[in-house]
Amino acid sequence: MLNKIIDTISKSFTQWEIFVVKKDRRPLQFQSGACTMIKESETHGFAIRVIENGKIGFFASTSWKDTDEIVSRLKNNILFGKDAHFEFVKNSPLNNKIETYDLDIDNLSNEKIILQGQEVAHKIAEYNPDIDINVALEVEKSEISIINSSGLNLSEKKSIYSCVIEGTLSCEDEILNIYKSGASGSADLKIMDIAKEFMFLFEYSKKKARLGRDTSQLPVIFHPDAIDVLFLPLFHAFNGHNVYHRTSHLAGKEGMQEFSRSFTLIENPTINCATFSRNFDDEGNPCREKHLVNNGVINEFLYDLSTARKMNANTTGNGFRSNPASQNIFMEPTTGAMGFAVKEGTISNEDIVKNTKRGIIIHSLLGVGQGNVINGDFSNNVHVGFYIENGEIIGRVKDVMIAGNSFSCFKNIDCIGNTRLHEKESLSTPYMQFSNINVVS
Amino acid sequence: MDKEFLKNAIKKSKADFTEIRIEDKAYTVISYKGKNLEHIQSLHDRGGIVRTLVNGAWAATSFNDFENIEHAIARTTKNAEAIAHMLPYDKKVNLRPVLSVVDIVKAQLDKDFRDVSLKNKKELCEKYNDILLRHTHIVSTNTHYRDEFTKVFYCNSDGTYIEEERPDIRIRFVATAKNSKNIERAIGGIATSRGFHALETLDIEAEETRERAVKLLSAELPQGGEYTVILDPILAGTFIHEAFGHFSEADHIAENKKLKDVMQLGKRIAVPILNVIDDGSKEGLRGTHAYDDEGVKTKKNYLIRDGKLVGRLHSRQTAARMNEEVTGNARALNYHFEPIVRMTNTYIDRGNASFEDLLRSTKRGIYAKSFFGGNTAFELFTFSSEYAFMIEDGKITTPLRDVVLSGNLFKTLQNIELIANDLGWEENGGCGKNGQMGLPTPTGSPHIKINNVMVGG
Repeated sequence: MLNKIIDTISKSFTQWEIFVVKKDRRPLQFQSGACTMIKESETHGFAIRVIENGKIGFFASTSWKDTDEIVSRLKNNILFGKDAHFEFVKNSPLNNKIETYDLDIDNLSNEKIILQGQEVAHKIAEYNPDIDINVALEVEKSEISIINSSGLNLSEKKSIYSCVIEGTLSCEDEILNIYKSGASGSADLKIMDIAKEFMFLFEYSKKKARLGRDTSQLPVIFHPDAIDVLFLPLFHAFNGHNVYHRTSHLAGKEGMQEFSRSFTLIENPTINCATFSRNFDDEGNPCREKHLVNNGVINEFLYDLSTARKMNANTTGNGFRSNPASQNIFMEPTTGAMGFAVKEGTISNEDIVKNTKRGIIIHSLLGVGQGNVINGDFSNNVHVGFYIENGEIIGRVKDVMIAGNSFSCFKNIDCIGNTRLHEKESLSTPYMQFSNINVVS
Repeated sequence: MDKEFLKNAIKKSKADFTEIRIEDKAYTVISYKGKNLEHIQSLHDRGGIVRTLVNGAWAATSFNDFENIEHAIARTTKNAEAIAHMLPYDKKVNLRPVLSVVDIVKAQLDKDFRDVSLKNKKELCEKYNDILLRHTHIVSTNTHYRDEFTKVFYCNSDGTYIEEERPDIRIRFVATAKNSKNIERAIGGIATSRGFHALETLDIEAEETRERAVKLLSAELPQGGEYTVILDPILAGTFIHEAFGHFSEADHIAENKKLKDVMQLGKRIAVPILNVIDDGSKEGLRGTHAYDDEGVKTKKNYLIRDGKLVGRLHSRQTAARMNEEVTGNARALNYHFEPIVRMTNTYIDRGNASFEDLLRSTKRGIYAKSFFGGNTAFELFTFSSEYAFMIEDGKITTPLRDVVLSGNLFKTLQNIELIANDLGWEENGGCGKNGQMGLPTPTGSPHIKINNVMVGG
């Protein structure tokens, strides 16, 4: 089928690119320790870009019998298409050779996954049989290929193993719902560690704590599970596409000291066996490590091929169909990123809590992304958070909201822990503490 | 898709119950960002999902390759068999019996978008995008057009066979304004299942979106604390969807003893002036289909009547588990997913007050308008308005931005003081649940006044 499509396209267009995805997902669902559903999900489709008379045509399909109509659809789109600011990537050897695929994930049998799911549920039931537990374990493997008229012919296999644990505990005056997840590009995902963190949250939620009247100056510690609320504005601001469209808060600030000197932010898809690991982006450009912020100084932005040309810059290998893990054929490549990491500080995560006289630590927020992300403003309900007094966690806080501005937060970081969590996931940070967040109780 | 092909494939199944849903979707996407055309795309998505029930256990397989549909059924059945023997009795699935149906449902469109040329669609987007750009403070826009025409073929081993056409068309405006201090966004546009005609007269909507973005630059942030709030129909609809609607989905309730108590039918959970309805059969809305994704006819379902809980939303599985009637609320985002219990068109029914009554009776409060985002964690909810105003002595005063409302569902339902008589619908919203994000779930409501709502700031 693919050869027939290549044959058809190459006869009608001189500049073309075909992106093929074959993805198989196998999620297993568990309720109270019993596997209640095995699902297999296959996606097999292709996306075509062609350039003719300086215009781009795009067509994508999951129907491999569409060969006859591809050319007419593309020709029609080109008539009204957007300007092509680039040429398709030429074939060149890749410097990286990172591991994106783990055969052991592919080989995980349903029987083995069921045993793992049951073991997790059993452990949690031992801790507290009243928690209603839902577990989802999922194997995903995919293979992408990029072939173009410039001689490029790349393919890459990828695998991800992921776990979601969700539990509900009904108490007299409330229903507490807690969610923990983890994912990795290798089969050695530490599922039991995720379960332990899950039980920790229930354990510390047993006691309730009141913040009292004076909450305005309370320091706020973010557990890495909840810290994405602060990073969404940065992801937007460092996306070259938004720099080009003048909606980046950081546009034009390269080389400027915008943030605290303790803050270094890296984006790196070239980490072995992570959920976002990629050797090349969805346009065929090699991926590499980028320092977006170096000791508080804005260093570089992220670009795909087309945006880079418009900005008179070079692609950073960030031309993704949404992000490095999505491989969505229905999207044209644009600037996308995953694999963000914050450089560690010197104090241990535990000592950040121990050194806090009065404060809160947040593990989960509601409504992440509902504020003015471009401006950096956030305002969220604390879903799972604990009050700390004299270095001890006192209990869970309820009816508390936090509000602030992300860009201001990163200018004044109290401290950054020395151990990053979620290293194989899209955002990996240590604990971080801030004092310029408004806490409303 | 050939009816006999699907029926024959199901006949060969060894499962207790087998269903196949095939979707064939052709769509067009056009988008402008700033002054530039960003995308012009033709897309075709064709796939199916098989679900089998064996001895009380589900398995499902989704696919793009139709040649092997019988193999997919056999594999799915084998997967269901593999877990059936491990399932405890209380987890075994039964399906509420329903009458089998054979039906073909054609779409009724006021101007079929498939007959509109790509050139005309692009020119319409360009016109609206130009309107959005007409202000010196507007630094970027996003005008995003998308039409989808989906043919759904549903066949099950109970003898049901349904073909249903599901058109969907939307245009979304985003205007981004910037001054030396702030960057603000306003969102507009419409989504509809009624046809292309509804998209042709939105010049004023585009102008208002642009002006809102500019005005937000000088709006103030609210001071955090408890307020009396008046929600406009868009935000009130979002509130009832997010805060209460998800609670009425029976898959949550069926498996949770505490929730069963909390959501006991007949219980008074809200003020007596509140009536809440979910209606998947309401004509002309995006959440409306003749049948849900289990082949069950959709209908009007009262959830709250005069403040009392009177109903909930079901799939065949949850209806059987709770020994209640089916409601036609098993919906799947697309062929990658099995149907789960979802809302359709959910609304607060009209009250007796006027909007002026709500305003006049508010000494100090916030008038919050339009929806930006939100979610829930059981009884906790949070949602944000796109823009808002202070209310002082019954009058709308200072413009506000970034107003985020938060609270406890059950306390809030008791704190509704007045409901106006100006029911309005919002169709742009998409709902996410269990990884199925963006399902069309229109919401409706009149203006409502709620006391003691927490506002972040």
